[in-house]
Amino acid sequence: MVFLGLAFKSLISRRGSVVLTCLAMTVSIFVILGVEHIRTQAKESFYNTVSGADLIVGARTGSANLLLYSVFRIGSATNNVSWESYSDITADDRVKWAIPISLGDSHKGYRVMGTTLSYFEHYSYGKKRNLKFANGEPFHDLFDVVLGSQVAKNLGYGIGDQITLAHGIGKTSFSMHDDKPFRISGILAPTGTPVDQTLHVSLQGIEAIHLDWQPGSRKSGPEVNSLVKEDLAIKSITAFILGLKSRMTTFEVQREINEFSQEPLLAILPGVALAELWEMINILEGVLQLISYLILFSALLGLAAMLLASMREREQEIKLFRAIGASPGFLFVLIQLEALIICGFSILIGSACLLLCLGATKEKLSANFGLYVEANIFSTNSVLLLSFVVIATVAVASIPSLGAYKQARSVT
Amino acid sequence: MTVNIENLRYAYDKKGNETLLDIPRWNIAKGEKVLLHGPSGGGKSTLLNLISGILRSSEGKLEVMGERLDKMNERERDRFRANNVGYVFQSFNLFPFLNAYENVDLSLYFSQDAKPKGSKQKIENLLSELNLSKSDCAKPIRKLSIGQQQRVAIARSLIKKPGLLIADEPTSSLDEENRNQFMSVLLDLINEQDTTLLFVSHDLSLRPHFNRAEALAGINQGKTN
Repeated sequence: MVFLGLAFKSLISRRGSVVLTCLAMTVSIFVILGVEHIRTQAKESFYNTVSGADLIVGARTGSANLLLYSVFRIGSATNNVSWESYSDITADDRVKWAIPISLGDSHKGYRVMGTTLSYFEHYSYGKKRNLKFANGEPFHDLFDVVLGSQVAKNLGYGIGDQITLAHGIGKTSFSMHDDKPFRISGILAPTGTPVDQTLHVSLQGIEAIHLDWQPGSRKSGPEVNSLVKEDLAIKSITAFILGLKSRMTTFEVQREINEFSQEPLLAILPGVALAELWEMINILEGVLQLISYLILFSALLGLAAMLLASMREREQEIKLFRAIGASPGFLFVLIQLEALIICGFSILIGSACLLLCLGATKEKLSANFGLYVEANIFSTNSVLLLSFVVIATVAVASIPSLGAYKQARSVT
Repeated sequence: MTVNIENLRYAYDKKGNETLLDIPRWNIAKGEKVLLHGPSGGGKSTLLNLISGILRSSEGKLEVMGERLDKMNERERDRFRANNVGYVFQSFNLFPFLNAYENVDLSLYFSQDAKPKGSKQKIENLLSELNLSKSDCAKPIRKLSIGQQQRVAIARSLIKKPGLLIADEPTSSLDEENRNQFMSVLLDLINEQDTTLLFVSHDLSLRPHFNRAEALAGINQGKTN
């Protein structure tokens, strides 16, 4: 207690430089914890986007591109997959289930995905968690739409509301399918994946809104009331997800699809493609980590410099400590304790600031970047990181501490 | 005998080439008040640091209050000093970030393994005896006058009732009034506690307060600047 009281009072007496050092440390801890937390959460969220799927199939392109547009709704497909190819492949005995995906339209910047009811039955994310409805039910009618949780929340939609889809994927579109409005039949529960940012309609619904469309313009077409779901033939889709009866056949089916004779297709293993894609992001992750460690290093150097600079003005103080019987070891520990108090306060303030910032920006991160970040920053990783900060503080503070120790031994 | 020196040598370098102090024999009896004077750089502060155990002699016998300091390691000398030696400097006698009470209390922290019972009362009584009010004792040191600060320094150095009090030019920065007041308070407490006093000063007008006055040059055969 004497040590702690002395260290506290000594720091308070030099509060100007101490506050500045504490601020520098706080910023560095905020950055290092923030980068680590967002990195971990982004990785977790990334790997949790799709699970339980054995293969993702699309027109031949790069595996990253196929994964990006089919799962993350980022970018566009190079070509479509014909319905015949889809039917042939999914008719195989080894296929347990299939989810067709048709992309190309949007609503106020959110991607619209055409699919079938098997999507709600078989699509899973995280640790094989299936999609659940927060409200309503799947699309049964031609112009029914099921919203992802973020779409409904951010646009303030409810069951029964009518919305209009836009042609293309731009945030602002001048080509609206306003003659064929959709009715919201269901809203999905939050998943923390791109599903939350997607509007889901039936494949026939997608076909229906494009019946009167030629490339680039709209021509007169049939009235909404005259369209029957069953009469609309699907010509092509963008991609499809496959679930196989046996994992053992995955590579076999993948090879057969990649060598499919009717059209050039690509089948990818979602886990492998996710890992490959993350490897590409890994460089940025490494750079961010390096920058945060450099910020911490400079803050620690600032702490050491502040304590070292104070040694000159504390020469008399050290002499007095020695005169009243303090050992050089006492002075070593006292300086270390001062550094640790600064470090402790910085950790507290830095963590509190990060918690507040994450709490305030959580919604914006998920809406604008699709990044689902938990506000709770405390994990084994963050505790390890903070332990590293404490150890680094002790190591760096040993420079002024040893200075005080030597000064105490050579008092004349 | 409070201080007993025989053939004491102290050199800054380990080879002993530049001997600063070489004292064949010098003693201070128990309860004696000795004034030591000499030119700056002559080794007065070094001798005080040797007698208090902050520095270790290169050679010879140095006995303080019956304990051989020259045979002790650093930790033992620190403990000895904390328990038996009081120290007053010319300036910076107190920690500026502590108040008067805390400064005196800290001195007790190093003097014993555990603080004696009633130490709080003891500190308050001593500070009150030195004309320091409770409100003054709670003030930051910088808010006290120089005279008050020197009185707190006396309390800090005498609270543990040391056998030896070392004063290193404590009056040189004081005006005549404060100097007289300081000497009066210090000597009253010294006499009351039967403490031996080794007082270093250039001011020979203080001579009447002491049993004897000695020039360092008279006892030191070592090389001086």
